[in-house]
Amino acid sequence: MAAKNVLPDELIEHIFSFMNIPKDLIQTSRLARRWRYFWRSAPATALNFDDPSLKFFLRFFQHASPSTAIHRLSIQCCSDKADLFYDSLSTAISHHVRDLHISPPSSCPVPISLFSTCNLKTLKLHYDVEGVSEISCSDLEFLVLKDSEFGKANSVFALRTPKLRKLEMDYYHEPDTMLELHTPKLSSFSFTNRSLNNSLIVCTFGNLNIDIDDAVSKKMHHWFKYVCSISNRLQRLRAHRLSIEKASHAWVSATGEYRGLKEITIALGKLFRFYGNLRSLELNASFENSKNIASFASLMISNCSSIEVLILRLTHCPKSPYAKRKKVLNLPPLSCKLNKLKYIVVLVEGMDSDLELVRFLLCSAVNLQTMVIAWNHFVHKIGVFEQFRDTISQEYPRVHFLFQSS
Amino acid sequence: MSTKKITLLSSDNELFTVDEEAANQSLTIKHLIEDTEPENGVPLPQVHSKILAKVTEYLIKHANEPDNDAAAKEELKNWDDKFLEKVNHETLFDLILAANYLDIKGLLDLTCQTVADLMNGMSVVEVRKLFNIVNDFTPEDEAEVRKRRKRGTKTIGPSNDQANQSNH
Repeated sequence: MAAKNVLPDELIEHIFSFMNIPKDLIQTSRLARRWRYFWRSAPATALNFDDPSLKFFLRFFQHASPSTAIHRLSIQCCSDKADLFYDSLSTAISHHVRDLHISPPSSCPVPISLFSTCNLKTLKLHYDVEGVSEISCSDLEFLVLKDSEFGKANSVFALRTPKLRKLEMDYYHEPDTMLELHTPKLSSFSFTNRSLNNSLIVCTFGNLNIDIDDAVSKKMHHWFKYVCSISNRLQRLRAHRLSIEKASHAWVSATGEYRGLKEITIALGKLFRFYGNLRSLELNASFENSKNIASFASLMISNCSSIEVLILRLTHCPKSPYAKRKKVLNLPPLSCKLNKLKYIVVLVEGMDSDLELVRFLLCSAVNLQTMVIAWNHFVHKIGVFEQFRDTISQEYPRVHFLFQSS
Repeated sequence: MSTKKITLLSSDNELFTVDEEAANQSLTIKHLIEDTEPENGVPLPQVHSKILAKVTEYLIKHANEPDNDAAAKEELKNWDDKFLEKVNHETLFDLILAANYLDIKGLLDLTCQTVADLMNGMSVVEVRKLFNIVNDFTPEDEAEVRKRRKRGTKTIGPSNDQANQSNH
């Protein structure tokens, strides 16, 4: 009978493969002569290095087996360790690192193989990747790029990452650079563009909600120019959560300076022709001219015959003198009825145009079940609104109305 | 539904009966049945009844592993944790050996993971006790290791020339 608790070498190595703290693994060399070099040959040990000393990290891998893999490596580095940092990163890449969080100093070089390594699943990079034109890591699923600057003027930065599911970008770019996303699996994209220049985003992805917060960018018209091939006279568009192509849900916020508003309307109208499958639409927009609200809304709605849930928050810009005008909308007749629309939430400000819009929706959505009408503090004539409330409740007994003050 | 029963015979001649599906998780048992078609139970002379009882408990629980049901997976994971909670170190090592011999990958990984977790944060002395290791470093070896660590030399562990000597 074997002595108790004595395991053959291959089983000890198997146990090692479950150890993920480098210090514990090295410590085994101090147990006994037999154990001295076990840790070096441990197959595919998956180690987590959270904020390691880089000297220790490099020494470790001078001795470790080439098959020793790294699960997670997270390095914060100051500028006087540029060489160590470069070597550590090269080592990590050659040991099939899967999860990498790095914030190198901006002047510090990064091995170029990082951007094409195939084992990487998560990459969080706080770094200026200027000079890199492409990231093509075949297994990458989650990418965070912070404080980054891409490309030179008139250049292209491309992501060719077939498995990428989540992308967060916060970057500054040179004028007229182009961002290409070849990411068929991307399902979440959050994007903060801190530059003041034109940018062009070319996207080839499927189901996606994009969260674009492009607060500073003044001329985003190229974005839509590319997507919709329309007028480039657009003055300003802030797209917040814009869904593209096959999306089944969309959120659109648009703030328009009225000069360019017509173009925005048309752009979005054309854009919505892509939406064969759109089922829910949330639209937040602020306008200075109620006529534009009308064409904006009707264009959008008439191109979305598949939607089931509609949330409209169309507000008038209170600072504008136009806001006080009570224009009649003269909504154009719909090309199709919104047969599938079951649920509408609409914010009104008590203006005639708002009330007209509500009527327009009621008459288009023949199968509507519920309509939530919210009014905000801009409602001036509460009496008119209350009267309107009673009238529509009587005219459309099939619809369940809910009234909320917001 | 085939619910063919398989009888397993431990080293101390105790019989355990499990469904064929459960038993087939052990590749060793599966091959023994295919090759020899034993009539009076599959003989497992390397496994004591005390350990085989635990092994069969695991096999029965892990027959029909859920594929996509997250809740069932979670439940099974909790069961795994409990399964080894009250096991002493000696039994744990015997289970590793049994899982290795019976070729049950799930059980082998579970037990090895448990040992790796135990070693997490243990001192050298504690790990020696866990693995029943006799410290056979000579005082010279120890002194040298200590010296190296103090000096903070480039290498981790003893140097390479010693590695060649002590590889047996």
